[in-house]
Amino acid sequence: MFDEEKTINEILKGNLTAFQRIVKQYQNLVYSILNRMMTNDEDIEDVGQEVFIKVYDNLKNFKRESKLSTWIAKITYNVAVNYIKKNSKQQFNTIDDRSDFQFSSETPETKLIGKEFDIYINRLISELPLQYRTVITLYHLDDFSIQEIQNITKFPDGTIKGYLFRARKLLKEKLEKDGYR
Amino acid sequence: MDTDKILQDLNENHESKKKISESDLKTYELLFNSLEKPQEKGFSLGFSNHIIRKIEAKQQRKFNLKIYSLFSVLLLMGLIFLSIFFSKDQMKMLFSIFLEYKFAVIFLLVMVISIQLSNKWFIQKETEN
Repeated sequence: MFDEEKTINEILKGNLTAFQRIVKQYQNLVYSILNRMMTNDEDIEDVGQEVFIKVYDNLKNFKRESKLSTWIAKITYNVAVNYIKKNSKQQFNTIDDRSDFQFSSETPETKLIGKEFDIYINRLISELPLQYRTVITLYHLDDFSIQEIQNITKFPDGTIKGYLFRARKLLKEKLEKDGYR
Repeated sequence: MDTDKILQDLNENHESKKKISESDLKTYELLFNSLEKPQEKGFSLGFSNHIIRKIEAKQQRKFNLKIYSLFSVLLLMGLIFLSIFFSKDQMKMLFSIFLEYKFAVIFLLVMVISIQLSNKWFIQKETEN
């Protein structure tokens, strides 16, 4: 079984094999966040490497006030945000709540089930504003609590709940429009 | 995710606190179940090995920098020592010894530099793969 405390102590003594265990343990978490925040697969791979190198360099500063997964997610989020601000034209800081958001995906001709339905949902999520899809991923896919998401993103409690509520409502309404009731 | 959990979640994070209808709940159930399914895609197969190689290369660069700094300090101290404690005649004698063995000294320097360069090239190659 994966013993986090023991593994961290081994890494701090310079054991790189122990760090490889951390990478294997948390690479799905890092990937899920980056995959929802970024679009290019090559960029995701590069930024993922940058995240884990940062984790290695800063592990001595990890104060164990939060779970290691929360700390790694926080680093991932910050690295991704910096990358997006530097390399992308999309606005990060502002979401106009008054604007009438519309999904560009058309209603599928037949009712999708199983894998195809999941692919369709993922496509809809990728159309949502960046903050919505980040919060919805951290909450549902990575199983973080509202407090943990607050720690990761620094968004206020109410804002996170608002993003989560609106993101789920938009997806639900689109599904209803597509005939899923 | 079962219906009770979905209801609890919606009530906890629901802004308007309106009563959720049966049909809305069904759509939410479909949505929540899909949202919680793990993604099939992931990083490339050698992802963790690649990171370890990058960290090793970084550590090697740090180590080399330390060694070069130490060597530079020692060289500087040696030169200061020579200029203070050696007379002109002793310096001339030292220089003549150097001239006598110049090929050996140059060969040694070329060897050290080529080993360092090839080492750097190999590390760079390994990090790229």
